[in-house]
Amino acid sequence: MHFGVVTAFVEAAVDVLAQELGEPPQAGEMRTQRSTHATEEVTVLVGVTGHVRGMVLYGMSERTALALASRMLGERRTALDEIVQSGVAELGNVITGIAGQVLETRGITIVISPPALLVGNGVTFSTVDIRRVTVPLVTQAGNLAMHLALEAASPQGGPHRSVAAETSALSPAGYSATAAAESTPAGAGADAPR
Amino acid sequence: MAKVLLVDDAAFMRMRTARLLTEQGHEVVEASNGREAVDVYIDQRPDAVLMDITMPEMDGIEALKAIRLLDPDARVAMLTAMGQQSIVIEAIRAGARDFVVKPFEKDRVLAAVHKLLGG
Ligand SMILES: [Mg+2]
Repeated sequence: MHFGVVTAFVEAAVDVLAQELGEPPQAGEMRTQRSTHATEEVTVLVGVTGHVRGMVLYGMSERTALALASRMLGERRTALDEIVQSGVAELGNVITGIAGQVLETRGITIVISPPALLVGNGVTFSTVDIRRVTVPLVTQAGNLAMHLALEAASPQGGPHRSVAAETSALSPAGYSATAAAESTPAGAGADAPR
Repeated sequence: MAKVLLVDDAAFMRMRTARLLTEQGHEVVEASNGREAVDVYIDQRPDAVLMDITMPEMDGIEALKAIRLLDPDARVAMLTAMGQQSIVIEAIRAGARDFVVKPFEKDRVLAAVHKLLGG
């Protein structure tokens, strides 16, 4: 089963970063891994439940966090204060929300939790044995890594399975271009729960 | 000019949106979650409310319902990243007069406030 969860997140990240920064990011080559995750200097964590469940992590250096917030506000920020922290947390929230909209058009409903922020690198945690997909995003404000520790189930029922399997169907370089070609699950959208 | 209650858990978003509204001459009051929004609404009786949805303690849909219960004439627009159709419908049913999806265009937010104020 292939629900296009990975491409929905890539599309959302590209759209949101393009709008916030004025230029789309370059999406790098995806990796999948199952090992324990070690956080970057600044990590935004967004919980997801519904047809897709698990966690999305947005990792970056402190320098990137400052540069992102500075660009989004249109003024130079030099300290990782509440404004900068909530700015990058909100960026993760908005990307996840937009991915939810993309998924809704395919009959897949998700609910997201308020973002949490982890500051300080090397915090390790295991993503409950969900194989995760890492998508590097290169922006003018610095590099971000979007980690999708997610599993998806069909809106018709059935078990949740890691979205990492989706990546094998995607070409390494041009995967965002494949999003439009994905088909909608049969019967999608008829009575998807909130 | 009007008094606008801005509800968002992200201080960054409150700062950014407050700037936009004060530039237009509006007075801005803020709340960082739904529960606080209800308290500030009672206390300040704003002319319009811009309400986020994904927030800790009480989300924006619950806060919208609580505020509309207190004041059936409350003028509330949602301003959120949760643009899923099912959520838009729930918000409109609960009395939201407009729904703006983040990341937002400045003009879209100003148009929403204008609409809330009956302009
Ligand atoms: Mg929020």
